[in-house]
Amino acid sequence: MNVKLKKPAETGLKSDKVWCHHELRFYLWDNLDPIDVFNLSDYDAVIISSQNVDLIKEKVKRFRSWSSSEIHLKPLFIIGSGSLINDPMVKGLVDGSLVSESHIDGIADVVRRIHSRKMKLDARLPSTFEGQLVNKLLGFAYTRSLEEINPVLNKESITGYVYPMLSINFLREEEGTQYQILNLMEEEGLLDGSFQDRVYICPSCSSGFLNYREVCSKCSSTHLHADDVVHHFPCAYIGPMKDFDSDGSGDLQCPKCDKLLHHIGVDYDKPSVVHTCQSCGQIQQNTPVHASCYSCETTVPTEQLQPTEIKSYTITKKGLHVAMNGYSNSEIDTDVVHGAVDLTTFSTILNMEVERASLLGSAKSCLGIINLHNVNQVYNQLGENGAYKLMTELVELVKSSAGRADMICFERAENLLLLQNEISLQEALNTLRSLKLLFNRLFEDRFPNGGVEIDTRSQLLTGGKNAQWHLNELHNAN
Amino acid sequence: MDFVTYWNSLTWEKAFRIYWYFFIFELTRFVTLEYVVLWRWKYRRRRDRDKYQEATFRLFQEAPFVSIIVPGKNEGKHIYKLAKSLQNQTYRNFELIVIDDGSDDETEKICNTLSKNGFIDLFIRNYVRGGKASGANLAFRYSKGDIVVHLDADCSYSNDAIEKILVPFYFEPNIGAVGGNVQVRNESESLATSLQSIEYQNVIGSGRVVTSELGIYRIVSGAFGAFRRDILDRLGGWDIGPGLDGDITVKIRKLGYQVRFAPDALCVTSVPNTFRKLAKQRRRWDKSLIRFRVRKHKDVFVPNKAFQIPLFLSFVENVTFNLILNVKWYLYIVDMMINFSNMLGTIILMNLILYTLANYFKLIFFAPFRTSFRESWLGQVIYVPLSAIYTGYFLRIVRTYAYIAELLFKSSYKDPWNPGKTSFYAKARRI
Ligand SMILES: [Zn+2]
Ligand SMILES: [Zn+2]
Ligand SMILES: [Zn+2]
Repeated sequence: MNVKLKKPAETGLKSDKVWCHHELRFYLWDNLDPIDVFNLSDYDAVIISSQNVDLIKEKVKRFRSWSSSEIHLKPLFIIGSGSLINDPMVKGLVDGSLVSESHIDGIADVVRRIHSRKMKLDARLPSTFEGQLVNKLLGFAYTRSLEEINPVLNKESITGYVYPMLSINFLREEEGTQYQILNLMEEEGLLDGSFQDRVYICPSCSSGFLNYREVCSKCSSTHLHADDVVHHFPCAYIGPMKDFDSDGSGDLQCPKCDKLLHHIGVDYDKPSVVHTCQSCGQIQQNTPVHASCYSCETTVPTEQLQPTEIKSYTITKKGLHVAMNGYSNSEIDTDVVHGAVDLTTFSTILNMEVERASLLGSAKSCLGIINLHNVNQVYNQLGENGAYKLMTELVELVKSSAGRADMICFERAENLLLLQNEISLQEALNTLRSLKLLFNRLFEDRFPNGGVEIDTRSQLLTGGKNAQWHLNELHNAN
Repeated sequence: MDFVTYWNSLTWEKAFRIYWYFFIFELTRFVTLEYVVLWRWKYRRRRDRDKYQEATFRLFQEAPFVSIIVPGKNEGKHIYKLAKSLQNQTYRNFELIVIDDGSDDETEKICNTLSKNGFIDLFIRNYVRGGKASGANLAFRYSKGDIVVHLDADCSYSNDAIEKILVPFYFEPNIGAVGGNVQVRNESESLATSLQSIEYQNVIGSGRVVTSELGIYRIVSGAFGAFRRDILDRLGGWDIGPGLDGDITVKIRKLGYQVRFAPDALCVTSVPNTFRKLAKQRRRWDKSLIRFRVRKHKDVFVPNKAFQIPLFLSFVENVTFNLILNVKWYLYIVDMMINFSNMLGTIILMNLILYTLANYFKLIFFAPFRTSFRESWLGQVIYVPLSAIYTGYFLRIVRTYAYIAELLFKSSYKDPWNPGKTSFYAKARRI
């Protein structure tokens, strides 16, 4: 047994809840523990211990639906009743299960692998909900080395299918939105879909739980009575079955010629079926089929149901790139903004600056960010050329006020990165504060209804950490 | 010049000896008798003008619900036009029921669309063909009207046709069925259709006025006929065809009801445009004479409780002027060949001239009694001579062939017009 369990000294939590295994710290989350997921970000993995499927489900969902990647990408395991993991939703969201403490070695490698892959991800939180979902889905697939994102049949889902990591982000009645996200991702080339199934969902609430039934073409009543039409060859009488079985005995007798009917196909046949509406009396043959929604009680003709394709998805190269470099729903290529450098160059220089700073020891450099919330609406309004003009203008504005030897980069269309050398954090923050005022004035003057909001942040460079680490820190420092 | 000499040498006595066939049958029955009856009809019509107006008024006042039924196979292409034209009728209180009797074309699709859009009130498709009678019976079974009007999908109806076919029910008591006036639509399409047009106008246009007036009108046309619902109920609808139109008319009369022809209830139909197609159609019609008059309804010739003089006369007239005359005509030809063989050519030519003269007389002098869409009968003048050959030779030969086939082989039971399953039973039950 090479399992070594150490009791941690530095945590204030009850020590029997924390298991240490080499460098990894596992938190054992049991039924009675009232702790919430955001307090568990410091642990390398969480092991859920419960006998109750519903509680497990709830905990897993809470983890995976959390917005910060520190939480939602956390390695999660279940200990104890391994059979519980048969729930398709839970199965798709946890990283494994273990029967007892002694098997912890088996999951340690899984945790390490997830962590090392997670380090490569872009950790910034996109400003839009869609962006966050895209990031989350791609990030989860990447860190778990999932080759496919597969739909899972689930009777608890409103549409009948779930993509666990995506679906948990929606309230049950809003699950239909998951298909829009997936379609968007496929359109943008992040995913490659292959057909699995087709579902018909309610046009008003996206529910797939529908009751299909034939209705009267005149009054839409479902109370229809179907009757075979019987044709007696010898006398050409033709009418519904009930005409021939007036006494209900089951013996068929022709009402026109009083003969008994003998053999179908020989002296009579059934050339048709006729429906009689029991509400309005309408006779009809082609009864329309209507679907009634169990969720919202909307009833529509089946032609009005939305056919939705259920697909399996593989992540494309572009998808992987986005997972690691962040998703932006703006089409704008930020590498070509005049006066700014592209992100790769910026990162290289940032790395060099970190090295220089740690070598000099006393050197002070700051990395700052200016977030332009909701700026995409303004870009859309301006068109591509107008957007570049505005971005160039913003870069000029930064340059004219920020002093010397500074490096400016549009990381994405929605934020600017500033590298300021030989400057104290206080000075850097002051510069950013004045830039915020200038930016605010510009947007308020020119786009009073644009709703653009500015926030800024800055931090000193830390020796020994790379550019990616610094960028992650900047985005996650709330 | 021989002919002129011959003409001059003819005495009345001699002429009658040689042309007795023409004088007895054509001149007496189809010219003189009809002309007299037409005048009588015209007189009564004028006299009863107010009564007719009143009947029309009562029709619209009572406004009986009418079921227009259109059974048929592969008729989908005609239904839209038919439904549209029915929307323009002066009489509006009706439902339109279309039966698709096992069509193998677009009919089902077309009719479903029309029914969804309110052009058809009820559309039922039989997935297996059952024949014209069962199609009509199915429509009748689900109809709600007090009067059932049977239409053919490929006919066009004048805007007051429904009104005009209904008025007779209010004009006279005890009317069980009324037949409409079917004329030829594609008259100018070919020689065959032109000749048929003249024929329709004689046989139906004026001929049925006469038979109706004499009370021996015998076929309510399937293309356009109106029936009282209670009577159809008693009869259990139509029996297996062919000839079901004539058959049901006889049955209605056997029940003691009157059947009338409504000359101003006009519709036009497309007739076969080649003589070959025409011959095929007529063989089927002619066979039904044997089957229904002679075989199925032979009881009308037997004096018993159900015996009715008009019905008897109608049958006698029909059988005489079709079946027996056909035989007589051959006897006539044999007579001529034996006794006048040296001048057979002259006799045939003379016959044609006599018939043509009779036809011209009818064309001109019957014109005031005819009701039709046609503005003028002048266009037909050139076809009249051919008409004598058409009715005298073409139709007669077709008819002879059909009669022999039916009498000897009961071939109508093999007619593909009916599905085999129904014909088998019809034959076994001698109907
Ligand atoms: Zn029967
Ligand atoms: Zn209904
Ligand atoms: Zn719904």
